Parts: sequence; C-alpha cells; structure tokens
Amino acid sequence: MKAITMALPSKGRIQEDMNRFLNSAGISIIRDGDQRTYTGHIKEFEDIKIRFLSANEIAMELLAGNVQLGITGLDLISELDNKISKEVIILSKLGFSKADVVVAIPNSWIDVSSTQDLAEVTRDFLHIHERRLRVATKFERLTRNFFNEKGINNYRIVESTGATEGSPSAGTSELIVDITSSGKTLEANNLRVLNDGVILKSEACIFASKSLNWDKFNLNPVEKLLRTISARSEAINKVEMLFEYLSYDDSLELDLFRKFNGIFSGGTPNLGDAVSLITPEKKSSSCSQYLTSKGYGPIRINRPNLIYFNIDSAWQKLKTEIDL
Amino acid sequence: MKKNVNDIINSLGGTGKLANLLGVNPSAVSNYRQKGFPDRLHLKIAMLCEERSVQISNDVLGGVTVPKIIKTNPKEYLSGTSLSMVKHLSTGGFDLIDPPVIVSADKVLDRMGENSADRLFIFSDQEGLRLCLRPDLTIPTCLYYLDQGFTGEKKLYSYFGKVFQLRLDNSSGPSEYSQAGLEYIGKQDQLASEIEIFYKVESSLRSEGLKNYHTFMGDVSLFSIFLDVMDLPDLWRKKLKAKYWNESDFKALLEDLSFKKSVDNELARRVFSLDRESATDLVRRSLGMSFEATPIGRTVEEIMERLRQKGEEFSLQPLSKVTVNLIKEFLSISDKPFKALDRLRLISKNLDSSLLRQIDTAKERLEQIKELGVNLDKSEFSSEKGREVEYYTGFLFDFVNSQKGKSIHLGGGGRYDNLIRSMGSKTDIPAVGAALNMENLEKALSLRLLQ
Repeated sequence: MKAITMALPSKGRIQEDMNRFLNSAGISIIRDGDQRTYTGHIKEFEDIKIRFLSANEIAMELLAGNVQLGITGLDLISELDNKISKEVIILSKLGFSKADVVVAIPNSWIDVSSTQDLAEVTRDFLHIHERRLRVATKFERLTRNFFNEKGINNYRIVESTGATEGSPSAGTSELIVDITSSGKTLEANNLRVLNDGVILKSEACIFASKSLNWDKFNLNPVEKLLRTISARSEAINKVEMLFEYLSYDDSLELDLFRKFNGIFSGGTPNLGDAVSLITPEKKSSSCSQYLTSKGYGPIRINRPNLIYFNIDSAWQKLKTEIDL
Repeated sequence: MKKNVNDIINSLGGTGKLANLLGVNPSAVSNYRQKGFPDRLHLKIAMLCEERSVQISNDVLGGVTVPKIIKTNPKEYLSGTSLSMVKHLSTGGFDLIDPPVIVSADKVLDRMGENSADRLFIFSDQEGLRLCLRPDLTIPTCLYYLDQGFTGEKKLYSYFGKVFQLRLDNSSGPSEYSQAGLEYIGKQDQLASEIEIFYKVESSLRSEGLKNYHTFMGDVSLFSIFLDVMDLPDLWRKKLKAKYWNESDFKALLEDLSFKKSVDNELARRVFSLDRESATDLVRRSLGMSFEATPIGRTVEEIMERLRQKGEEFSLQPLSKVTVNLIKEFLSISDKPFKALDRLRLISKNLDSSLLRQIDTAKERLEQIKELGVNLDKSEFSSEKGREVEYYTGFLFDFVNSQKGKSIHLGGGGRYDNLIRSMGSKTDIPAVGAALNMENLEKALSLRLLQ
C-alpha cells in the first residue's frame, strides 16, 4: 500500500488561515527537517505525505493528477480547469479564505450597474474609441466564460498578475476581474462591483484528484483525516446553545430549523432533556431571544471546536466518487 | 544513371544511413546488397531517390514510378485536388500570395473578439509580443494587404495554406487543416465582386467533379435595412441591431421592449429632461461630488449620452404587437432563393422603397449567378443566416456536402466591409472573400468515389 500525498499551501494568507484551521482541529503539520523544507507529515497520520506548494501549484498538481489530495482555493481550481485536466472533486468546503471573483468598474461610470449595461457600453466604446475595452485580470478563463454567458464579446483581456485593482487608474485597463474578500481595496481604488458581477464565490476547500488509482493507496488515515477536517469545518462559525427542554412545544424543532438553521445535536428532545442546539454564529443572538421569549432558559452559549457527524460527507463523497 | 542496387545504396548514404531512412536493421540493408530490394520497398526507394535527385534505371525497382508530386509556391506538397484548386483559384487576375503563418494575437483578437481566444494557439516572442498561429487565412491576407501600404486600391488575392484552431469540443477533428480561398479587397462594384467570388468557388467545386452539395445563402444587410426603415425609435433600433447576433438575447429584448418601462433611475430621467450642455454639467457635478473628477477610460460626455439613452427609454412607447410580429416574420423566412426573396418582398411591400431596392439587388445577384450556369435547385436562402457570429456585413454563403447522411462543411464566404478597418485601417475598405476547407473537400470527394 502506497502513502497518500496531500498538497498544502506553503505561503500567503491561505497558509495562515489553514494553519489556524488545522490547529483548531488538533492536527499538527510537521515539516521534515527544518522550516525551509517542502515536505512534511501530519502527527498521528504518519501515512499521509505532505507537499508544501503555492496555492496555484496545488491547483495545477491536482488537475494534473500528481497529488491525491490538496487544500487550495476554489477560484484557482475553476480558473485552471480545462479540457485536458483530470477530474477534481470538492470533498469539503473549509469555510476560510472566503473571497469572491468579481467584475469591478470605475465608480465614475454612473450609467453602469449591471452586466447588461456593460454589454452596451463595450459596444459603444468600440464605436467611439475604435478599440475594445480592456479588462485586467489573472482569471482569463473565468472572465471569458462569464462574459460569453452574459453576451459580452467586445472587450480585450489584459493579463495582470499583481495589483490588478490599480490597473484602471494607471490607464492600463478600463475595468477588472479580480478576487476580493472585503472590497476595501476596490473601494480605495475607486472601483465598484457590478450588481450581478459576482463570477464565483470562492473559499478554501479540500479537493481530491479523481482519476488516480485510489485502490493502491492506504486510505485508513485519509478517512480519519477527512473526519477531523469535516468536524472542524462543521464547527466553524457555529455556536452551541445549551438549555433545558422544560415545556412541550411540538413546533419548536421545525421553527428553529426554518428561522435559524438550528439543529438539535441529539435529535428530537424529550421533556426534561438538557438539549444542545447548533446554529450559525450570526443567528445566535436572534435565536437566543426567540428561545427566551418562548420561556426557555437559562441558555448557555458555547463555541464548539469540532462537530463530528456519524456519517461524514467528505469521506462518503470520496468513497462514492472513487468507487470503493 | 544508377543501374545496380549497390550504387543506389551508396548514393543514398550507405548501409547505415539507408537502414535509418527505412527504419530497418543495417543487416537487412547488407542483405539487399546481395539479393536486391524486396518488392514492398520499391516505391519507398524510388521516392527517396527522387527526393535526392538520384537518377535510377527503371528496371532496378521493378519499373515502379513515383506518383507525380508537384512543388508549388507556397512550398508545400500539394495533393492533386489541392493543386488543381490552387490553379483554378489563382486564374483571372487573382494573385497567389503566401501570407504569414504567425500573426499578432492582438490583431486577431481585435477582429474576432476576446471570446475566441481559447481557440487560438497563442504564444509570446522574446520581446513579450503576443503572437498566434493564424486561425484563418482571411485575417493574414488583409494584414498582408495593409502591410503593402494599400489604402483602398483594388487587389485580388488567392491563397492556400494551413490554418490552426484549437479544438474545444470532444470531436476528434484535427486542429490544423488546409484552406484554399480568395479575397477581393478595395475598390469594387459590389454585386460584380460578390458574384465573381461566389462563382469562382462554386465552379471550382464543380470542376473537381463534386455535384452533391447544398448552397445556403443569406444577406445580413437586409435585416439591418429592414430595421432602418421600420417605424421604430432610434434607441430600440440600436438595441435590436446590437442584440441581433445572439438569438436568445434578441428574443429576450423583443419581449422586454413590448412592455412600458418604469422609471428606476432618477439621474437618467433628469439628464434626459435637460439639453446636452446642462446635462453634461449635471453629470460632471454628480461625479465631482462623490467620485473622482475625470472618469476612468471614458469621457463625461459618453456617460451623459448613455444616461440620456436610459432616460429616453422611460419616455418611449413599447413596441406594438404588430411590429414585434413583423420582425419575427421577417427573420423566419427560409426557402428556395427566389421564393424566399419574393416572400421577403411581400412582407416588406408597405415599407420604405430602400428596403425593396435592397431585396431587388439580392434578386439581381441571384439572377446573374443563375445566368452563369449555376444550378440553384439545391440552394436555400435564409433571412437570418449569418447571425451566429458578428462577422459578415452583407451577402454570405456556405457550401455543404451531404452524402450517406453525413454533412460536410466544404467552405463559404461573403462580404465583410468592416474587416480591414478593424485590422487597423483608418477607413472602411470593402472586401469580399471565401475559403474552402481542403480536408473536408477531399473527404467529400473520396466518399463520392466510394459510391
């Protein structure tokens, strides 16, 4: 049985986010030798080999079928995926390094708010200036597919590998397609996202390259690892509310789910049970108000570090896709 | 004149070299020295000798003759069909040219639009200039025309060569194939040049002995003039023309224009209520207050004009059902050419005479083609042909061979009067051209032989 290779980001924001994620999940990554090496392993999962690569290289290696597993951004996989790529599947969205790939135009184009407007402007621009509008981006494929879908063809792509947001004010393009998390850099550069200009909602995911001969590999540590990673991603941005179920209310479970995406972790409670309700963090205050208004309380709110489900969807997905 | 096997082997470079050329062991070649060449190698040896101008006596190789391969300019080996096609197309004043294989990717994309970039072989030179292998021969021919310094002079070109397009779908076709074609560029009589190009290509198919093909014709200027003479607000006309090239967008637009719009843009409404000067001031003020003073990439006037348009939309009456139906009916005509044009004329009988004149011109074109002896029985004229890609500006045609249930696109062409301007010319230069896919033509010819 051969050991699985997993590629992890070696630098940048995504590496910092990932380290925080893995630490919270109790997974420690150990570099072989000193800190400058590019191979490593995971404590307790010795049978998984780690390669440290840039997020971009990880996407390329997954699509080339050179690594079995990898953590990288969905934006990079979507951009680099092409006809000759091997099939790559998302095992789990990890909830960190969230950012959108967007179409952003100069603020001063007060006549433009949608891609429909942009289509008209690109046509007018060609007639007035006798050249096509320039779009600066490193996401050439995503841009082309999106513009094609929106009926925009009168434009030209200007390749941009860094500081794309500065391109319009520097005069090297008129608009951009770029990735943004807070939108602050766009704002600072007098740019604004089109109303329907979100091309892709990206975040870090754990991916698997489907085409490999998975049956040659030792998958025991993979199942354990995926379960831990899923447990951590399930717990991200979630809170646990603890209270006693003292008054009977047969619509409570459904209401909590509909209004607050709340789920009882122990299933439907019986009268007198101490129950644990899992809800998204941003709904926690409205949810606790709802519960207290119904007469429940006191309510204790915890931040769970890991939430394990008895069936792990990431592992199930891998098993189904690779026909185990 | 080499008369024996040893002499031939020596003149082809000796035992080792010939073994390499033939892909056999040197011991096998030594064997030939004793026993003579085996029959199966006679043609191969004869070809090697011919390539190297080694004169041989006929009887050494069992009297085999090498099939005639003729070198032409462009320096490629041409098949018999290709050769006769080149000969046919380069008569009558059409200069056979050899335009560049590697062209500026930016020029090609300026013409074809960014969305075609993933069909091109794009690469950079040492200076970072983006280049590509030519995806067709029309663009390089037009660039060749401009490189010669012409600015509208009449030039007739014919060409033959490989073109390169990446395959995006899963079809197994090659990503390079040969094209033979014609371009009529510069000063020209519109009808005469179109007929000449059409006839020259059509007759070349017939001269190859191909009979089983359909001709699909259209003329994109008809719909454009139809919109010009319809009683429509200019703004609707402009929008309809812009969306024409995408069938589903066009359908959605027709639907959209059938309803009255409600004002949802207060600034646009105000801009439209003012004269242009005050409107520009208003736009400048709104920009100055909240944004940087000069807009990026566009002028204040451009932004004002578009806001005016938006404001105008709210004031316009929606398209009537009658108008929408007439537009749909006009685009639905597809029939035998003369019949199709008669039907278009009937629909248009209450419209401005400039449209009728254009329909008559199309009919005149057909009549002249017919007088040249072209059989139009297997032809079809469609009022919406050519709308898939914004490329042609007038007459256009395609030849499709169908045999044993298989459709093979042989080639086609048409008028593109805005092509050369988009390649960098300062003025519009009229152009009409056509190209044949030689691989498909040969395929169609060999299928015909099988029958």
